[in-house]
Amino acid sequence: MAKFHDLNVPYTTDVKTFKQILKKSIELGYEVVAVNHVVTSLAKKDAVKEAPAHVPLDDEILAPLKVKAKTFRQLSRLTVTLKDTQTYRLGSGPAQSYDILAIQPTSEKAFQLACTQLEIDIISINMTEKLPFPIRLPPVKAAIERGVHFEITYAPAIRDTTARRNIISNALSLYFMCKGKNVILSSDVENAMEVRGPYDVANLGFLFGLNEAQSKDAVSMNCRSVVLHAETRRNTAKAALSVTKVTDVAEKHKWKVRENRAAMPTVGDGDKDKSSDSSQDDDTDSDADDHHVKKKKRKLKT
Amino acid sequence: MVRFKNRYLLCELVLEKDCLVYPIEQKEVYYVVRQAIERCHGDYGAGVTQGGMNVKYLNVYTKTVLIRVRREYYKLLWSSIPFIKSIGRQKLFFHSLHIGGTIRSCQKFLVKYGQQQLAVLLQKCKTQEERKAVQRATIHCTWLKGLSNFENVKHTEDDDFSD
Repeated sequence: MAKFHDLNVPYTTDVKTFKQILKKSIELGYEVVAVNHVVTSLAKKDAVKEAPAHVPLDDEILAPLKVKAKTFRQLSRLTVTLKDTQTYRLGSGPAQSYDILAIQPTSEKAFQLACTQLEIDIISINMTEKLPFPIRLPPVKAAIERGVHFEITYAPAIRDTTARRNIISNALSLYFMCKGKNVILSSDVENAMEVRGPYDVANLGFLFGLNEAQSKDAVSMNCRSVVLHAETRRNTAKAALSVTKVTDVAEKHKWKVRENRAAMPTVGDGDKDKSSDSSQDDDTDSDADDHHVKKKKRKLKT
Repeated sequence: MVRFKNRYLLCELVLEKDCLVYPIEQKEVYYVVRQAIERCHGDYGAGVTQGGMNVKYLNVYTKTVLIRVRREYYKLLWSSIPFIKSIGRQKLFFHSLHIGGTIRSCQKFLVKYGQQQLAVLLQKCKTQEERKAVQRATIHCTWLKGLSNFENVKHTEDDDFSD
């Protein structure tokens, strides 16, 4: 059973409202939430700032998940509104400090760029108004092949009736191109009363043309794909290798480090000379003493 | 045998400010749900659900609602439920818990859900008295499940519930 994700909770400086939104999300069953920072204009040099720290949550807020022995994850997300004249370098700088990167294209050229070239995870089209460009099949196909997902937000539909009609019609035009693949549903809520439970959100997929399996995936499996895609984009080289310092290795991976193997209990014949064993090892970290090369298996979603 | 097959949607009303009792009647919930289906699915939705839709159960203390709808059209109902923002002047939304074919399956789910909520409440307790009260309630409801004649069981006030 995949976890329920909400990958678009807009960031507010009002900590109290923000904590209330997170509290409601946890009560309703969400386990992973991505805090969205929107950058509308790249005119200023420091438009994109470093990702701020996670908001600390009290035990009382985390109680519903603690009971089921689950943990809550907060991720940071950056959404950049892209017009075609600006080419923003997302590969470096403060943009890389965010966990998830998203683009909101406002023109056909920007949409094409986002689908085929840019290193991002989510393409979020503003569906509350008439689409500024028609969604065509070739860029959508290219995006699906690359693992980029399309986002549909539901909170504007709850707020306003005209927005609701536009969202449904635009979501359907997206559905006709992508056939329901690589679609994620997220909230974009302004206050705690607009959050909806994951099963309710999955049922909104029925309005957007998705069938039952696809709409359930849109809240769980596809979001998980986005998070994994973001991790491989950030941490790995060509999605196959990642490098971690020996001191930074997580507890559950400590057995991989050669120095720790002497301390580990061995299975079978205990009389064997441990030093001769390690010298016959075919490790690749013999030349790099400080770094431990870890092969990361990337599970491809079929 | 021809019979009407239904789906029973179990929802919880989540209020803006949580209060112990939310005084509401079944017909108010019914009208709000009808209105939401009309706005979302138009005259077709209203007509199709008019025949079989009914608010079967409403608990003002736990704010649980059980809505019945014909099996073929339960998606119309379920997709319009998220758009409900308020009933009267009270801001709230529906949180759907379970959809089942019979009232009994919804009741079974409700019992399990209630036990989960008691566990959550235990985590949120701040004083020892609150904790004891919640523990007593949890044990009481698990005893009721197993015993056929629970009047004979005596539990004394001296029972030590501390771990």
